[in-house]
Amino acid sequence: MPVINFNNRGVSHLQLAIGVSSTEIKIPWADFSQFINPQAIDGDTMWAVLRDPIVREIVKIDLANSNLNEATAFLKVERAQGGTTAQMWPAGTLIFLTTHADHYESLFQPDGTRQIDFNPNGVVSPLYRGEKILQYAGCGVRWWMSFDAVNPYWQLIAGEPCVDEEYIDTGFGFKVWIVAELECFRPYFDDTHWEPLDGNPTNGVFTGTLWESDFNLFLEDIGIWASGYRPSFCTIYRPEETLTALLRLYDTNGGLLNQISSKLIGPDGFTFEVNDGDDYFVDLGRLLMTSNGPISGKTQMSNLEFYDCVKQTAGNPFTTGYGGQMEVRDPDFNTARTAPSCDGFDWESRLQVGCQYRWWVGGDPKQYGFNRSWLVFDLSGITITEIDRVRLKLFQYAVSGGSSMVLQESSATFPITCSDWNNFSGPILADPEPMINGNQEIYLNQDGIDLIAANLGGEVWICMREFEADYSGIAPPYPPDAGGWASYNGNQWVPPPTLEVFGEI
Amino acid sequence: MAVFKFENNAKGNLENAIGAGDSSFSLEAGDGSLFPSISAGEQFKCVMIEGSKSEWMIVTDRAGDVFTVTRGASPLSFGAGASFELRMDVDILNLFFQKGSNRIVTTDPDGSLAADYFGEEVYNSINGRWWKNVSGTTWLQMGITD
Repeated sequence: MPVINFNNRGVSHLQLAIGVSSTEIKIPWADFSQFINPQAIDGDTMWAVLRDPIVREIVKIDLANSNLNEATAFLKVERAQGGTTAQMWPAGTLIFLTTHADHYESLFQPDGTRQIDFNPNGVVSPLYRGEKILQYAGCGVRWWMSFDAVNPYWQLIAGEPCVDEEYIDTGFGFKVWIVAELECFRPYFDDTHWEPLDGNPTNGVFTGTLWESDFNLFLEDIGIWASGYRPSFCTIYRPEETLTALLRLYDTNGGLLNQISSKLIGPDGFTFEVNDGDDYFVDLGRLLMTSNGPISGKTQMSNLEFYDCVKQTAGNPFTTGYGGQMEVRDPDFNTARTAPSCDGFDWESRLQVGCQYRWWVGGDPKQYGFNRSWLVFDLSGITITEIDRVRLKLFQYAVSGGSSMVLQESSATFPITCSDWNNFSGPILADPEPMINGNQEIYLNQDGIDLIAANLGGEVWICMREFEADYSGIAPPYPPDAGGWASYNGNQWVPPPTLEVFGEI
Repeated sequence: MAVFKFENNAKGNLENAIGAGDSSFSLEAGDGSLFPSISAGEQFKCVMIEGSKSEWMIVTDRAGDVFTVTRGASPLSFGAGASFELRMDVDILNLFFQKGSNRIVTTDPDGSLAADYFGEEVYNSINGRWWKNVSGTTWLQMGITD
């Protein structure tokens, strides 16, 4: 960091006259050593005064760019400083080093310490690197020190860390709480998440013969990724009983093969240093799965699917007259889209979703055709009380175009009729899902999970609509067959629509 | 206490005469702009000179050419045209933190040692711990505590 320099006996005279625009001053070589600093870096300065009995001019000596060669030595200066005016000075003019207001402004005065009532990290820009600032409230009394000259990066140098609980969704179907120093955890880190160290995802599909020795598949070292963008130290604590998740093994017919409980074990409390720009994986312990019954020998399984938490299924409730699809056609896009009721409905085996613009019958004008479908699930058998996630499983057997599908809540009741054409409301329940042939698994968003949770013990109605045209209100472009649609299995085809609820009982 | 501000060549002349009891005055038009701008918690020190008379004053507020001051220990009266200029003095120089000037103590200071100034840092040579003052005799140990 550049500094202001000073020397004793810094007095000399001009060896050559200078004009008002000169930026190089020559003084006798014998005096030169008092006006320079051979170790100077860019920005280092000294302040000097040129004066006669009446007039004076302050100049700033640029130490790093002055010429220190004896034969050609000169002082590089900026003229007319401190409110003075550049003058023409004759040879012999007195020049001497002086102190300057900047000198004193750069010195530390005790009462220059700032005091705040909040954590300065990410908020308070330092006045200089190394500034110390007192936090007198907000999370106890603490001293912070800046480790950047410009950006609001502060390190705790005195006082207790501010510890708080932080909720972490592991992303593996269970939740944990950790206790952490917030100043370290946020905003010191971002991109925090958990992941297994053995490379085997906790959720997945296992095909083949499962041996006892294969149960290392279910051992996961759990940690947390921290992307440090400022140096600090951090202590992360973990409650003694962090989690107890259940692992249930199902066969392809849904039969329960085994139930395995899990517990996170390992030391509690980790203090580690974080360096700027580095990523860290902090090992918080091992997720140990233990069986509630003997597991020995081998068990022949196929397409084994296992979960970290309880899975319950609300499926196959779709019967004739109890859900289905409707359609509307009209030459005008908005007339069709906002029609008060449907033109016809189909309670048979299939569901259709889409919006197309085409000739439907030879010789007739082109029309916009909309298809919407309704799903209904009986949730009365679900005993889960805390839902972690919800997955809708659909099977598409025909698709055209590149459209997507969205889900919304419906207040339809049995029996659904054409007057339910516009019976949907509220936020979308999952991200728009591209309509592609084959199995489709749609994870509901928080709005979707909340809807299911609100209807536990009863039934839930969901409307499926095409996204790009129907939901968004943008007409598909000409030519014929523009738009997209898809046909899904209804209740009479296998696999039927299924709603899977994961969570804790 | 407050932080002292500085400016080069800050000098002007009194517009009207003042008495020993006056705590505000004006300099001649335009002279005020040569002095620092200050906000709450800031001040600067000046001396007013007229002939053989002089008085140190601390400027606690400045609005254009109008100065609000804390008068010296023995305030004087000055006539129009008296010189008024910002100066450094020993009290200000003694305020500045000097390298190696931290006090060394032999017991942990929290609850017992009165700080010389807010934010002072002292070193306990017995157990090798640094302490930083919060206020009065309240101190926080620096670094990672046990």
